[in-house]
Amino acid sequence: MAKGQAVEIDLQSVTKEYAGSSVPAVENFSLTIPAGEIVVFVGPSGCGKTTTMRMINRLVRPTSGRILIGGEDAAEMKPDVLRRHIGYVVQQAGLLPHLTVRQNIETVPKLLGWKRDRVAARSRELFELVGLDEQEFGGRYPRELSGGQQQRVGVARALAADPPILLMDEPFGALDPITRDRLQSELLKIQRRVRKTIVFVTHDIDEAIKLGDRVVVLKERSKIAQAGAPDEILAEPADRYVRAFIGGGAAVKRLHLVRVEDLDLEPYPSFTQAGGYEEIIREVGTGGLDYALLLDDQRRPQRWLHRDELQDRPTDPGAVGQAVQGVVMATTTLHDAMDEMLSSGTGVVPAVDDRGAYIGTVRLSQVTDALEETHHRTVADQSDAAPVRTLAEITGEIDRRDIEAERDRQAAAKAGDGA
Amino acid sequence: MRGPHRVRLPHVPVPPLASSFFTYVGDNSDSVLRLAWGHVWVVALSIGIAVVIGVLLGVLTYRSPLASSIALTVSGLFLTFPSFALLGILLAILGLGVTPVVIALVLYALLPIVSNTITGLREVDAVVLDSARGLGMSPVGRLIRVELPIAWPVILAGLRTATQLVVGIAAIAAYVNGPGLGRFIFSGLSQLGGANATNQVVVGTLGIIIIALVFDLLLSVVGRLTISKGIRA
Repeated sequence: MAKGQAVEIDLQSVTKEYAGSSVPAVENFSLTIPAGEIVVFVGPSGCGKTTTMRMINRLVRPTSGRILIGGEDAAEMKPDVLRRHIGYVVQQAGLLPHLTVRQNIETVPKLLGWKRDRVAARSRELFELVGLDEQEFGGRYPRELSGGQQQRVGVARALAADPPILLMDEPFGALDPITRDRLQSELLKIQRRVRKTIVFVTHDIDEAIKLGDRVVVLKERSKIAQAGAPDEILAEPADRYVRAFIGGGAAVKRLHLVRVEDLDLEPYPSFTQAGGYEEIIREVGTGGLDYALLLDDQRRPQRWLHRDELQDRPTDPGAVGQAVQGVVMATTTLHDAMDEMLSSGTGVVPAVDDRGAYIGTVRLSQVTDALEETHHRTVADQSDAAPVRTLAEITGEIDRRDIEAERDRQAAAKAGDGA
Repeated sequence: MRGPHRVRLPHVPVPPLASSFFTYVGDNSDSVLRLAWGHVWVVALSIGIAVVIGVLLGVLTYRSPLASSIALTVSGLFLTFPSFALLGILLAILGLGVTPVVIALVLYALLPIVSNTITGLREVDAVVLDSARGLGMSPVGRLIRVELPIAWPVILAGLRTATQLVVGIAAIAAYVNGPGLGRFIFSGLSQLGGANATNQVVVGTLGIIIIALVFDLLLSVVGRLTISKGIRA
């Protein structure tokens, strides 16, 4: 196995039978997992998805069948050696409680006998990769971390020796929805950099759709109900089982597949305090807009200022206008962006890049447009599209309310001018 | 040799003046220290041997319910033997001296060590073990780097119990001519009512209590130094 370079995993008629059980846990499972892709096994609990995944690193020994990793038969490698070249992340992270965060991360490189400075350099990279401050967290023990932080360490530890493959067993299952969401996005960000072959197990179809390049829907005995790109599965569920598993609102789920950066972001006028007011007032005026976005010196969105407030040229713009309620990242899915807009109660949110710098704004109408688009594509072959229509109406409703509120504000402002 | 005739006084038994406790200890400081030291090392030696055997027994049996229950029953059996009886048997086989004492003390120390080793190792979180396997740690590597360090606080607690137990039982060692502060107690008891009998018993008992406290203190310091901060209670 070449180090670092992602490799293909080929499962050929893999079966696992447990003594004392008449039905196999996994029956005749065949699947090729392409190098460098995230393949998500999704299915109800007890369907054998975890067992299937655990056969790849031989934590479970197949009763029959072959597993080729990068063309080599996994059965012919020493299990401990094989596992050192396959990153493994489990639910609740499974960190070694008696070791510090740094010692946890360095476990596999040390098992592989890396030299000390190479180990240190690598752990520095990993802290950076998973977004933890090395100074602050290196010496802490797992119990001193939150669930989300523990899972970041879990991911860093799995990636430590730069394995070509990463196995993830419901890694975010025990986290609160907000943390889960953030870690999912960060996993995608990390995957863009590291390009591993990732096998991810979950029972959450939304997570599967969000993360998977390919989604494999499994039923009992790990039988493949359908395998394909998330879009395919949402658009054309193979049977009633898959349709039931996807649940309602397939079109809304497809919003998981579009990211903020895929939209044409509107360059809403923005300014920094250092830049002064003249230019921004002119820009807002010529655009016929009501609001401008105040950025801090690192170009991070701070506040919305109304054009009347701009006219006053406040010495401390941080004290006027409305604080920015929520921002979305370029890599945020439209589904989450919509969620952000609905929960912050605004029809417009600023979008930011990796460093939090402003890159444009997303309007709720853009999201509904995207929804319409997927809706039209799916309505032909979806009998259960009804919930979609309702949700489109809901979002349309909010957009309208927003527009009405805006109109009221303008009317009030005019009345104020007249007085 | 005849001296001048003297009037013989009738013999009046004067009880030998019992010295005060501190005078007694001062006068006998040599033997107090020697026997205390004997006590300490016979305990330390026995505990040292018991730890090796006990932890090994725990490690070998904890995975199998049958094996571990056998290990626990057998080591529990030793505790039910009255110490005089056990020493008597060992004496018959091995004669007088240190060897039967150490063997008896090791047997008494086994149960808390074996039982805590088994409990400690069984309590290691399955998720942690699974991820250690997934990282590619060998079975021995897992035992040494994961299971034993995590079970260590529990094993150490067993070690402390065993030490307390053995410090007390070691007093009986004097019965088979072994070293230790038991010598004072036995000698005091055998001449009860005689001069310094009480002092002897008190020196022996107090000394044993002090030794027990010192051992416990030492072991708690060992705990401080060796139990990872990540799992300390």
